[in-house]
Amino acid sequence: MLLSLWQNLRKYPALLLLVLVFGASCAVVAVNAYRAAGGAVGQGRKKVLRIAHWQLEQGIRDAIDRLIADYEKLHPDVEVRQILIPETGYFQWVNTQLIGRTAPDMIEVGSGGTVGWALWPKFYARYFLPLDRYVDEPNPYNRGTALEKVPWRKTYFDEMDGGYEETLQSYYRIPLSAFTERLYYNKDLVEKVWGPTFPKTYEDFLELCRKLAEYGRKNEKKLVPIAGSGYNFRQFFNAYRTAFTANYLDPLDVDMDGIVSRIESAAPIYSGRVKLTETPIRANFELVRELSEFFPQGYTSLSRDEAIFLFLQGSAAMITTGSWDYESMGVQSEFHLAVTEIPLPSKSNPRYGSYVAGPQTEAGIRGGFPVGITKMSRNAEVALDFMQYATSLKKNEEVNRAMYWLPVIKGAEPRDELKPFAPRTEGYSASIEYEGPGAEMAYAQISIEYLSGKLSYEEFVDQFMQAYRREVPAGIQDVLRNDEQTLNQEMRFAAIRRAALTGAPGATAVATGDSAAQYKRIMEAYVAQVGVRDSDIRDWTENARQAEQPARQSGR
Amino acid sequence: MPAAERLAAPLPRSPGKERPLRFAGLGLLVIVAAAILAPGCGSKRTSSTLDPLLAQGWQAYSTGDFDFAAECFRGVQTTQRATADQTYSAILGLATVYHLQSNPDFGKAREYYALLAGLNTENARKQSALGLARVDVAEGKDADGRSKLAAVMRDYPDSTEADEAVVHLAESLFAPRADEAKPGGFGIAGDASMERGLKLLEDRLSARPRNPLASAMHMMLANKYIELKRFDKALENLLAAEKDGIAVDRLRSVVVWRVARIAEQQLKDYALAERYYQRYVDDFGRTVLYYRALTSLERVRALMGKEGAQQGKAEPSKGT
Amino acid sequence: MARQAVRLRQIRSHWPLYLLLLPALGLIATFMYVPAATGILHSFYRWDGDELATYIGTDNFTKAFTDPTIRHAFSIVAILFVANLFKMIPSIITAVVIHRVISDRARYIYRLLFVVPMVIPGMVVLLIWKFFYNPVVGLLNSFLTATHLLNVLVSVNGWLVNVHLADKATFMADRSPAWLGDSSLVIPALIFWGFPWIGIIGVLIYLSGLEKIPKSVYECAELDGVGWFRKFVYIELPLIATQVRINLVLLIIGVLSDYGLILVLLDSSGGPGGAAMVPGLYMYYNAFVKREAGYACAIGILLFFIILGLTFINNKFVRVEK
Repeated sequence: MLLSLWQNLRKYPALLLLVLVFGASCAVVAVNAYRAAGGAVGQGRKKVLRIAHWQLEQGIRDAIDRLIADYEKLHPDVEVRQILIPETGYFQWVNTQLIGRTAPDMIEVGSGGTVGWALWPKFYARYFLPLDRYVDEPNPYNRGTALEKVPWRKTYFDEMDGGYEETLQSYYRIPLSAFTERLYYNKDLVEKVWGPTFPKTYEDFLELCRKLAEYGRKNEKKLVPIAGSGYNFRQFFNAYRTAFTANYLDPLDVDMDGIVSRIESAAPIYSGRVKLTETPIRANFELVRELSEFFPQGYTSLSRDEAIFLFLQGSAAMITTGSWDYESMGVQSEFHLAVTEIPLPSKSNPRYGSYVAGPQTEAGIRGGFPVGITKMSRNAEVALDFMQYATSLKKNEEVNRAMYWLPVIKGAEPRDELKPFAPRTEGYSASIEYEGPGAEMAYAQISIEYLSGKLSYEEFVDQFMQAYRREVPAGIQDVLRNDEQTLNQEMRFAAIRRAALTGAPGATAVATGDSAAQYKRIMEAYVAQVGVRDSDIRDWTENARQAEQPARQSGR
Repeated sequence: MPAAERLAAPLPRSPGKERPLRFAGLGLLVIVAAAILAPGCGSKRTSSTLDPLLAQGWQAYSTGDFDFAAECFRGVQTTQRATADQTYSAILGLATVYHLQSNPDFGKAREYYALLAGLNTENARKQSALGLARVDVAEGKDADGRSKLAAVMRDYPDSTEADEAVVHLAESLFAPRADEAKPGGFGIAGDASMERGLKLLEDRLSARPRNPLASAMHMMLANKYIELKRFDKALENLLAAEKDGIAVDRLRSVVVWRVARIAEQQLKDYALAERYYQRYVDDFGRTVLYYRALTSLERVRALMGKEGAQQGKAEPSKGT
Repeated sequence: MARQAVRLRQIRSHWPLYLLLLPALGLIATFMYVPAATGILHSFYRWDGDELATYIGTDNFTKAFTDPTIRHAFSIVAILFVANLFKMIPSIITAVVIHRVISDRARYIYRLLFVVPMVIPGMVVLLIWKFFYNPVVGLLNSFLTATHLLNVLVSVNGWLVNVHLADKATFMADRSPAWLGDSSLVIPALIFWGFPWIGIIGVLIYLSGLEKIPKSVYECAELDGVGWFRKFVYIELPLIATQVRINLVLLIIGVLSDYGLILVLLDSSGGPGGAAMVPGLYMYYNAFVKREAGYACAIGILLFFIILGLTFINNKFVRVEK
């Protein structure tokens, strides 16, 4: 019968192909699912852990391999494997792995742009293990150190804030490293053109840029002083925006919470109470316009990779980027690399000096390279143990020194070369956000025209304010709608705590920890958010009324 | 035979040709059915016992999986063998899901909150009353919602539900209203409404000064007084909130900052400002305001020095 | 041939055939029709692309009709459409030239040489062009500088400014033009992209049409003393009109809905000054950057009707005479 069946099937090759392909797909899926469950392929009967991330640079992989080797020596029954996925497809890969329930035990989280930013909280909630019950216990791998009795989260320089998910009010991430941004420069070239000491002030920095441009022209080299791109330029702009707008905190911070919210920033610009033609703001833009003469032409259309390429090829003398690029740039450059701060105008600068408050603070930075543990992991406790090992004082220092990154654990020392990247706590935060809710695209388009010299400052302000007045009211409503969602989220958590407090079966099992204390926390956070919302709306409404009055008076 | 007729005619019965085609069709049917059903086999299984089912429901609710949560709760609610507590948990769960899911269904929420009241336990009645009131407010039925919240305060005066009702009632009185017809248009609460809300919170704090939401109420009052530029009352409430104990570190830093700022800039109480800037510097070294607090501390000390010097000049010298 | 109704008993007797069609139909429905249907539905909602959806009626369409960015986007698309019409010509000429090669073997080799570059992924080609336009080290600026053509451009630009035919100087001495970073140069850069504009698929489609022309037609033309140009205009062009019309429809759809090129070469905000903001890119920006997916759906519906209308006009008025 089988033979006659085979003979019949041979007459229908397409059907045969369909069946074979389907069979092969099932086999592949079955093998993948088996591997994902930690079975087979590992040596002997070891527990297999998989950790996925997008840090493809050689140094990172090697450092994590050494960490894994040390852990496996301590735990011979465990095997840990790295899975490396390129950043561009990472979010989509994670998405499909999580939905398909074949995700690795540990996953680097947080990529995916604005779509990812909105979806990661849902991923955490559905697929990742909340870590609250572990973070308040000491890290067992800190035994014998000064952090022996310190709760795990308090061993972090940021008290594990980088691992806390606000929308879910739980810890879901385990940060491994910290990052800051600085100005990198070609030490050999700068010393040749300028001298051994890098300029400390903006005035000297500008002079250096002129000398570099002249050097390029004289030697018929393609040389731009600063490797700008849409991405790198933002770091310069933010540094100067902070310096010039820091002193706007008191006039704009209506609710006196120390932060100028998006609406507190937008409302006075909308009404004209704060004009973009005011001297400090104008000075901010004019300084950046002046500096962008030393960027490549049309730099905003260049990508980050193109800017790095220019710098490493020696076609640019300086670039701003983060500590994450230090090692790979060091390996790829044929010159000596050095790092410094972005120079600010000195107080004696006649044009800018009186408006500059100071540098940007990095006191609020949070741990990065965050890793989450998936709920579908069959060895979640082992994965947690591995992560505690990686974030112990000794091992976190070791692995970050190997990766040329900054450690996240208090007392862990970075490499000497990375000391310039140590977070700067003495500084300010920016008090004005020029974009305005809803006007981001208009700002991106029109500001480029000004910075490239196509528009005068007055033309830029005029065109931008037209777009601002048109777009921002609807943008404000969108911001407030998003705030409502956050408030709703708080109420969801409050409801579950109330249910637990009233003894509802099931709720008590899910709402771990002290429900009364958590309920108090949630209501405090809720009330604070309501306060910000109400204050923002009042501020906006008063400013909007002010904006309408001249229009009404002129009969428009 | 024309082509159309050939197509319309049944296939000729030739031995050995028809069976493989039917076999192929059947095989395909089996494959397609397996492909559709197989993924569902490994998915969420609901528990056969009720407490774990309720736990699954609350877990799904907390992670935003509202449809599954409702399914779990309904599974318990409709079963005869559920205990009174289990039924309470299920109905409360359903009401909460429909009330607070991303696209709320207020009609169903109201229905389940009303069902809760029929359970005849104190907790169920309190949750029902609070839930029905909040649903009215969420739907924009302010008058109904407010009177129901007031009823919760009246009927269960010493309960946490009443404390929460006070917070929501005050919020409703303070809340601005969006004008959907005009982008960015809002109506701000009137003075009378604001005063009512403030009095409500203050009365509650007088009656129950150590209630679980006392710190939240004080912070709410402080927010409103700052909005109304009544900084003395704002300061009073900020200090009371701090005394009561603020559970959220970030909010504690905001309260300390506000006290220092109000004391320095509005009330010119430099001694208080100095104390609170120093507290900020000592306790909140990892925040973006740390350096501002440090420079503000120096500034306030300089001002205190100047003030002291001026006072020394103003007072007649004891020696003369 | 008269159409015959399909009877139920015929379906029953041919059920394996219909069953074999089901998976394909299911996949098309799932991946093409269902998304389109949900897109139409969500265009009446304020939707963030995820769970949140509030019904707002035709507000999205009202906003689209009054949005100045959309008006600007369609003006850009009109320019690109006209440019792409001219860019069809090199493909036609190439197909005719290959077709006229006498040797079969040579014709085959030329066809192969044109087709082989197709193996390069489209994204790689885009990235090569992005590098080509790099203001510092790109090939285009290096070529212009080395051949002193840049000086010619500077002089011409200067003259245009002097006679008030141009507002501002775009080309300046000792400044490399920023082809993708200057709002005046972005559109010319996008038009120049793909030079020499020989679309391989188009060439193959035209070749297949040209090969259907009987040799006897050419022989008659030779006998009548028809020259190469008149052969092209009176014989070849009319006989490939069907293929030209198909390509025109594809061009309309492509120009109106495509934005991948601009997203890769520039950014999601349409480059400097929004100079290259096209409707497809604006739809992408609203859906994935601003997260106003409902509004993006409304723009998509608008685009659909415009493309449908233009295709209808094309089919009605572009005559195919045999």
